[in-house]
Amino acid sequence: MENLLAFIGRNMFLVFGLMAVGGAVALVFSKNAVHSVVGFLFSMLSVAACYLCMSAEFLAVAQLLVYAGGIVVLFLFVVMLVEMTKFKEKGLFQVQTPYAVAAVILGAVAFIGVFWSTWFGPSAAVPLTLSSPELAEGLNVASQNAEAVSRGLFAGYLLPFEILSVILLVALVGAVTLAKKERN
Amino acid sequence: MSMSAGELSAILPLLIPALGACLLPLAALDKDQETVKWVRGAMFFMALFCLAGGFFYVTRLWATGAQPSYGALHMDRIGQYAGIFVMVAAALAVLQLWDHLHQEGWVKGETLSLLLFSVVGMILFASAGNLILLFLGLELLSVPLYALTATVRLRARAFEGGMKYFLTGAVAASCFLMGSVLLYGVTSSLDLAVIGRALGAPRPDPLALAGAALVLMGFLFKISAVPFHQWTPDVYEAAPHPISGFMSVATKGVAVLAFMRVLGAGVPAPGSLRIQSALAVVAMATLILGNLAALAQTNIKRMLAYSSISHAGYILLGLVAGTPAAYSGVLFYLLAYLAMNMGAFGILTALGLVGDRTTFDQVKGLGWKRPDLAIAVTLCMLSLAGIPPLAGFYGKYMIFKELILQGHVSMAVVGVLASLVSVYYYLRLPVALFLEKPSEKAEREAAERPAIKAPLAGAALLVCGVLVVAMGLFPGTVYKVFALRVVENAFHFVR
Amino acid sequence: MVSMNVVLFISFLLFSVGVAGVLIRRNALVILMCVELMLNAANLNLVAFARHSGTVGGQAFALLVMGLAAAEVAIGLALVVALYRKKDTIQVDQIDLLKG
Repeated sequence: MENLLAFIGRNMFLVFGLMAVGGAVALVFSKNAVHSVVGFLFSMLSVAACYLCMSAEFLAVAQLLVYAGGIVVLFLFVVMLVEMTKFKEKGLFQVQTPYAVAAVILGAVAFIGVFWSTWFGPSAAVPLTLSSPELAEGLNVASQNAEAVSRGLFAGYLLPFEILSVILLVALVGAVTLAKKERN
Repeated sequence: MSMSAGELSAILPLLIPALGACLLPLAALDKDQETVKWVRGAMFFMALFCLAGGFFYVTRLWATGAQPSYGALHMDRIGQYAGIFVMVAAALAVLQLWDHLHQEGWVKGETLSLLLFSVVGMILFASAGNLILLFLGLELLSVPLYALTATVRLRARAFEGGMKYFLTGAVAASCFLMGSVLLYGVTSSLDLAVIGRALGAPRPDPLALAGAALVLMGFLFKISAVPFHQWTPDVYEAAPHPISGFMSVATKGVAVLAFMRVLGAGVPAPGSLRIQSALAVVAMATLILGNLAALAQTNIKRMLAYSSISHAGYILLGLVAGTPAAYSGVLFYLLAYLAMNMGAFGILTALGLVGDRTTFDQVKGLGWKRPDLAIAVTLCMLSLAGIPPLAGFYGKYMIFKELILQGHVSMAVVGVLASLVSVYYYLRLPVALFLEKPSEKAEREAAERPAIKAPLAGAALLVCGVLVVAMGLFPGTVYKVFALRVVENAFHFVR
Repeated sequence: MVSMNVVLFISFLLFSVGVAGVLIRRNALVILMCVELMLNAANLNLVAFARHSGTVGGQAFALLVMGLAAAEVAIGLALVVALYRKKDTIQVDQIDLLKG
């Protein structure tokens, strides 16, 4: 028990990451759409915890606000709106499910091959590691993360930030165009 | 914060259409747009005005040879070419939209706003110098197009097409993002030039190759190349005719331009041979499948959709050849493709084929009623098929010539055979327009409908016809003024 | 200390589950959530790579991707609601007017 706790303590990221994957699996395989949304919420919260483990505190908070606060609520809202129970879902999965699963597994094997040759093969010239917090110019130090991100956003990446606001405006106009009730 | 004049001039081509796009929904707030004609007219005029302003600004930049940049946004020759290309296509689409939306009885200012936003995204996509801007451009060009596909809500198929486009497009964008993240991880840089060099290295990192494959998938989806083409016919059929034309021309065009920018840095190096051979396989499959599927279509829009898939194949062949001459051939081809494909989709609006009435049966004998339009679209069709002295022929000629010079003779032969096959289905439209008699039922129905008035769409179609002939008569001038300059000034790194 | 292998592995698992969900489910809402999963997998990688390179670009990108995801969801949900109003279904295999 002691050992297990120590292991978990050392590998918080792995634990939260597996929780995220678990939520995702629950999302895909649950019959009820509300359960799917709950799985999605669980997955998103775990991803936020993963960000915390990588000392990206600002992103973790943003993840909570955007996903748990905004997107999940929107999804729940639409699930209630379309009243899943009114029409019977004629089967959960597509007809081509076996082929699709086979394709995904094939892709997974190919990717693991890449993964393997990168970290364990001769081609790994510069091995990828997470640099320690001290080396990262204050980026990952807890007290300065928000400052570093905001400096990056508003100094180095101002144009992308403004363009994002345009995209949100587009989404607004588009959503209104699509879903507005017709005047008679 | 302050900006220099050069920085401002780099983002002005984006700002001008964006300004119009932000103002248009305000005009559309009022319900006057449904009742008062001058409000609608003012909205269309505003859209055209912004496009014209942007167009003249970019052509002025082009004429002076300035290549300003703002951070990672490079308004160089590629960006300027994209600006001219997209704004001309959008202006032709706006002219056709006026008539098409009136025919459908669904005139909304929001449609124009979304179209202009998409224009901004396209220019951004082609002038982005780092991964962030590239991805934002991709999203800004596709999100409005998802909504535009479903914009005429009266049609039963509109939402179906919009849904299909959205789901496939969102998945493709996610894969594109994953790929660019992997590239970022391997190179520790968001800059496209650095990434291109890393990919061009003799032995690129496998993880980088996986990332490149995912990014390639995103591009091929936007170019609508096989095997990422399934959405194309459905979406083009569901969307309003001018929007289908705009998507087929502008989206494909800027995707090719952005792809050239990404690819350009790595082309001369041996490491990118893998990407080159992957492209060759995709191009062959696209050519064969697109042309064969187009043969079997009875709906003009679906035929044009498969034809646009096959044209993606010709363009990719040019990228496979990979020489400066081939690149400028591709750029010439894009200009020709703009004129001929906007014309081909334009005939649907000019003849007033509303909704789902876009089969070959519906246009039988209509050529004699409007011979000018029918002749213009016939020219566009002949040009699409690659008949000599028209614009499309010279584009194909330049690409095939470079392929043969590079030793890819078999690919060139397949390309020529494919365009021979395409003559059959392109000629079906002129044959239906001029040689076939309409059925009695169709004639009776036509008599009951009010006479079709589509002056702006007709004018746009005639412009396309004239452009196709002009580019065919003076290919050298167009080639020197536009295509060659891009390659000379923007691709320093090409051999 | 988090190792890069673990991050890549988890992110890859999330991405695969997302792709699988998109391919096998019929419900448009669930497919939309799976697309979000794919974006989050990319975001996890971004944050890890930002730490690896010690630059802020990756984290800024991740923040922008969150905003984009919200925009995509807005359009997607509008389409779902509109489709439901028109056709009374949100199953992607039941919208099959376009063929050929």
